[in-house]
Amino acid sequence: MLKFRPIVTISFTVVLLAAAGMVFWFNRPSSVLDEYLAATPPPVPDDTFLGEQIIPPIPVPEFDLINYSGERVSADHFKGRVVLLTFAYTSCPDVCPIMFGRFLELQKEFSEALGEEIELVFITVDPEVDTPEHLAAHVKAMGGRWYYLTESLDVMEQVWDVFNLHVEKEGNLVSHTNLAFLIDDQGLVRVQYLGLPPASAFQADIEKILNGE
Amino acid sequence: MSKKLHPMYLLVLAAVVFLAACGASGPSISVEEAWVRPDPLWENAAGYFLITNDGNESDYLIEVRLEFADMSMVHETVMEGDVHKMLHRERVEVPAGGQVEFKPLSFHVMIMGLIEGLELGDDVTLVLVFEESGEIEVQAELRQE
Repeated sequence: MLKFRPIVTISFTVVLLAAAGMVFWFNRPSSVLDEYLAATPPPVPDDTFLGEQIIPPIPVPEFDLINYSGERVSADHFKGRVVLLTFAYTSCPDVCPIMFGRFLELQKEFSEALGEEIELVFITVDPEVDTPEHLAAHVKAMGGRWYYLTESLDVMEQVWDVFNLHVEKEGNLVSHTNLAFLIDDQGLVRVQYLGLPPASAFQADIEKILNGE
Repeated sequence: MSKKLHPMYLLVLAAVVFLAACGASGPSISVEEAWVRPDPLWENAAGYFLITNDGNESDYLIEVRLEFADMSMVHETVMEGDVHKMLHRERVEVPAGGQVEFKPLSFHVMIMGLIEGLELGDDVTLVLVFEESGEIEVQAELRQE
């Protein structure tokens, strides 16, 4: 019977394990997290944000919109509070429900601070359907503790433009960039997110901003 | 009165099924894990399921019929640049020996105009129409996630 020296056996085992590891890694099922990681720079250093940090921070673009409650809301309205802002529409069948789910998780995590130190904000990409009344019904049905802002199509087009959001409506469906912004209590946009990051990523970054980082 | 089957019967049965399967040609489609997610206002919904083709030829999903909404359409969510787009798919291939999963951010049935009176936990019927295998009816649970 053949006998190998220990070094040969060990080397062979290491190579075999490495090969098995690579096979496993390249065949792993893709997840939303994978998509997120693929869409944003990898968060390596401890002191950076999980989203894409805006350096230097830029003031949040001006807007003057109507909340689902009927109240007019401008960008200045949120000064003194940390804001996570994103875009969605209520009749979105496949993509937006994921973001609504993430925001529900966040409102649970930040239950105490919400409305005091932190605000969650949706801006519609479908103003023709998303009237304040329609939004009010949606927020109530979801149990959301967030702002949901709308205006006329003309006004909304300008808002999407300043946020660099691509919006395209075909029939009842709206294609739009999945963008979210984290704004600090001074009204500066600090982090942007492309895609659908997990709630934990938003949570970690919000906590960093709250801690003055 | 219940009687236990002799293991030999099961073996023979398995052999018959196996031989029958060997002789068959064409697609062999099954659909499972069907569910439908309504939006919070119960206006529209998306339908999801797993299609398996155990046969030795491809089949194609060409339509999903239902009676609990005004219309339905097979869509696929794809990324074009930074934008999630929903594209209408008229013919979705289920390859021989393969699976196609309808799931969030991928293939889904776009369902618009839900009828009134539906509730979470209800079962609704989806009729998947395949080019070769014809109609396959499945029950889908209404649930949020």
